[in-house]
Amino acid sequence: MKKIYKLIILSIFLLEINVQAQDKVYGGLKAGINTSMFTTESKILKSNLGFSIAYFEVLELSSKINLQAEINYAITKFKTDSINAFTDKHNYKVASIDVPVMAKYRLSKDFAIGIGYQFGLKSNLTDEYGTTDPTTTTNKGVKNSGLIIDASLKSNKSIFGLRVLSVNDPLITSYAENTNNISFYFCYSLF
Amino acid sequence: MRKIAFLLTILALYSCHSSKISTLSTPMYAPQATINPIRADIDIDMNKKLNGEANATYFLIFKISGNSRHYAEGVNFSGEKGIHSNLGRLKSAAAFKALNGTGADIIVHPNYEIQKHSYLFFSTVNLKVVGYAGYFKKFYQVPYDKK
Repeated sequence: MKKIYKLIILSIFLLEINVQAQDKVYGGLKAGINTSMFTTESKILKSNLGFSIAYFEVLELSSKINLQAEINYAITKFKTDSINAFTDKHNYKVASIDVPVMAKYRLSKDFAIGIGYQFGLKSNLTDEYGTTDPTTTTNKGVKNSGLIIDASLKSNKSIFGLRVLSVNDPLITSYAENTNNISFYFCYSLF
Repeated sequence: MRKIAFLLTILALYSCHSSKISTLSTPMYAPQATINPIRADIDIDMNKKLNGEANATYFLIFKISGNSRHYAEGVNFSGEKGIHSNLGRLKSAAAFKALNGTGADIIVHPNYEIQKHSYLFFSTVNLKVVGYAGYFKKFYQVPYDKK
């Protein structure tokens, strides 16, 4: 199923869209907050609020279809609860650099929905003291890639949006089977 | 030592190959014919200006949209590489649009106006060509002694 999504995204770029008018590009800065949802039975992991900053560009291919690409620096935070003698209470954070690329379809003049794919890399998993927990498998340097679904509202130079990222590789393989990341963001066009 | 022995064995085996070459006829080397270049007389209509426009949008190096699907043959810039070769293709596309449906054979004195906007992910190129309509009147070859 994920391969199909990848193929859809790639085909958007490989398919030349024949338009007569010159395409318009706008872009700027983006900031947002994020939280994670973990697919796990143990319920050890609980999400905290993280943040992200990004540079984005939007290409208006037609009155309905846009292409959006970003370079994103995100901090994802979560904590472990001490539910038994083997787990401690800790706050963790993971940094990642991501490049999401997506196609957006305008349902109305201001509201658009998008689907795309995020390519990304995670950094170290560190706790509140800045040290890495040796008992957890951190997926350091592993891809932070996955399918993204986006909904956004444009108002003049500002864009408000909600995005769901389904990460292919779990944040911590010891505890979570899968991670979904939800972010609320604000974009401001500079050009 | 073993390596040297191995190499010598390989060399010895390689040099001991047998060959059989049979020759049926002696080939005749014909000299390459050089054709005189063809020249053309052109009628230039100074009152008829040709206009063509082509545009394209790129995501990184991939062309994702544009109105340049047809290219005029001969208007290519093979020496230009990378993004410049894309520009060459766009010039060919603009030339095709300028010539298409006009009845003219060539664009005389083409002037290109290029507008390029580059961003981190996307880049857009808009190219306009303006020139005079040229019509072939007569084709002829000049003898070598009159060059």
